[in-house]
Amino acid sequence: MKVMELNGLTKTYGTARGIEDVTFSVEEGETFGFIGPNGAGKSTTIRTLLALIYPTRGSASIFGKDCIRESARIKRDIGYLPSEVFYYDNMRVKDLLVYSASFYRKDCTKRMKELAERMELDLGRKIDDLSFGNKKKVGIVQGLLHEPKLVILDEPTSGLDPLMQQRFFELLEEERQKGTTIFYSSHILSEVQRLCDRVAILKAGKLVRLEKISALKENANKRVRLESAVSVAPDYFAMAGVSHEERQGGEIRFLFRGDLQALTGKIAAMSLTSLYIEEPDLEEIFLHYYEKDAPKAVQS
Amino acid sequence: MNLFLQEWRSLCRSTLTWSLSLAATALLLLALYPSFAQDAADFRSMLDSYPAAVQKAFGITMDTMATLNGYYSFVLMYVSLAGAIQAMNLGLGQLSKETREKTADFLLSKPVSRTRIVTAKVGAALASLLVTNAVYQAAALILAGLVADRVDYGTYLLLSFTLPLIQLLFFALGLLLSVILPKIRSVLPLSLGLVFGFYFVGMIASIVGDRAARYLTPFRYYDRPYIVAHSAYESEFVVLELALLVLFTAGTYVLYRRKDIHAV
Repeated sequence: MKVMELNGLTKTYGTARGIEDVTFSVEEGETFGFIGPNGAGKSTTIRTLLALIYPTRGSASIFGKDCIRESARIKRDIGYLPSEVFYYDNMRVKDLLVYSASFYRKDCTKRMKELAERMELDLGRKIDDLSFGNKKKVGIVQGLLHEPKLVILDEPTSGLDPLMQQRFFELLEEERQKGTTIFYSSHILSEVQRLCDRVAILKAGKLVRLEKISALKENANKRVRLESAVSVAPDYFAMAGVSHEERQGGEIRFLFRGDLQALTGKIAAMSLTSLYIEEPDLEEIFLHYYEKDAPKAVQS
Repeated sequence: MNLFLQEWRSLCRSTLTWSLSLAATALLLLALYPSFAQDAADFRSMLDSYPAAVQKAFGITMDTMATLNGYYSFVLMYVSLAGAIQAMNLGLGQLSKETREKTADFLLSKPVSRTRIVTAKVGAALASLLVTNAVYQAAALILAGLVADRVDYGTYLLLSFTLPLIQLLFFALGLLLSVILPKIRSVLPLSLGLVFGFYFVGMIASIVGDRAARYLTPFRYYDRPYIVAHSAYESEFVVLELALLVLFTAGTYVLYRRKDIHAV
């Protein structure tokens, strides 16, 4: 079942760029990454899905219901963490969470305590006095409190220290195991790589690529770095699949894509002092989408 | 209901302040009435020395000034000015504060329709005006009995009720403006500007004596000398107010439902 379906979703603000003709869908139980540089339109897309702003053209549905017409109904099962969290200042953390829970038809007291404990959030503090990272924690607890079927996260980790990021990822993993669909928007590629099954890449308001994380990695180059005790002939690695070869002292670096047997055969014949064959990260795979004059990619 | 209670809680403090301030204004000015009534003749000669235009602008006619209701008309001039500011603050502020305080993303991602949000916020603001008026009207009634021997309570109440009537109109206007204007950074300066603007238009209308000009400002919908003389409101202005209230409120709902709520 499709939890989320965007169909030619377009939002323009006068002359300013919004999003243009964004089409993709998210399956139930999937963790879906939504990445792009700042200003690519990630938040615009999310805010349109939540009917905070209205689309200029196109449509979107969540749980099979129209995002605009049945917005209030849909939101019963959505947990949302906005990128910038600001809450009613005169409230304590607990007041805010109770207020948040009061919009849903369930008792969230137990889960509130549990989540606050996991995120080391002091329920008695005034929200006004909290640091940015702690406000973010309030946002996380608020978003997961009512056990939504769909969690929408917009840059959720900014401001969190590494330990808390780790806790947060654990929480998301538990949600995923419960069958919750997670829509994870970020410009930090490693997070998306770690968490998500599929990813959509947005650039300048347009969807430039939609792919499984695993497929992306398969099609990608491996990064090879080795050091040899003896000098290596300059054309030793002149073979199919090798590119971007660089040499520096005794170290040889290149990218490889193709038959690994051929490569390991070559390497086995050398007398090596060190060898690294690394998976590329998303950063490298997508870097060219981020560059301004990147070739226009086809939508898969 | 949770939304209404949250809104009401956030208005509690200002409601209390406004209620007490309005009641205190009435207390201060009405407390002067007994000595004023005694020396009415002196005041009359003093007032006569002012140019006729000034007398008109303030809506004072010495013939009625010496009576309680005449004097109270003068008190209400200040009270309704302050009350209009309270109402305009509420109108401009209620819907726009979510964007200003950046809580719109929190509220609007909850399972509530925009219609319900408007209703709860308007409800809380009306509750605030209701409490303010309950306090003010009670204070004004008690004070009337204390400062004057014989009170025409019917007319006195009619005069008093011009306060909530003026407030409602300013509130509804503020609401509509708050959904039309793209972003309100600060409520108070805008509110003061608008209210004083209407107030001066009202003064000019009084000086010119042009009936058409009265339609332009809620401050002149309820002509106090007329109320004192007839113990009634002018029905065409009551109808006009009702029509405007319906129009502004309906406009608010329609526009807020369609409005893009931007971040930042």
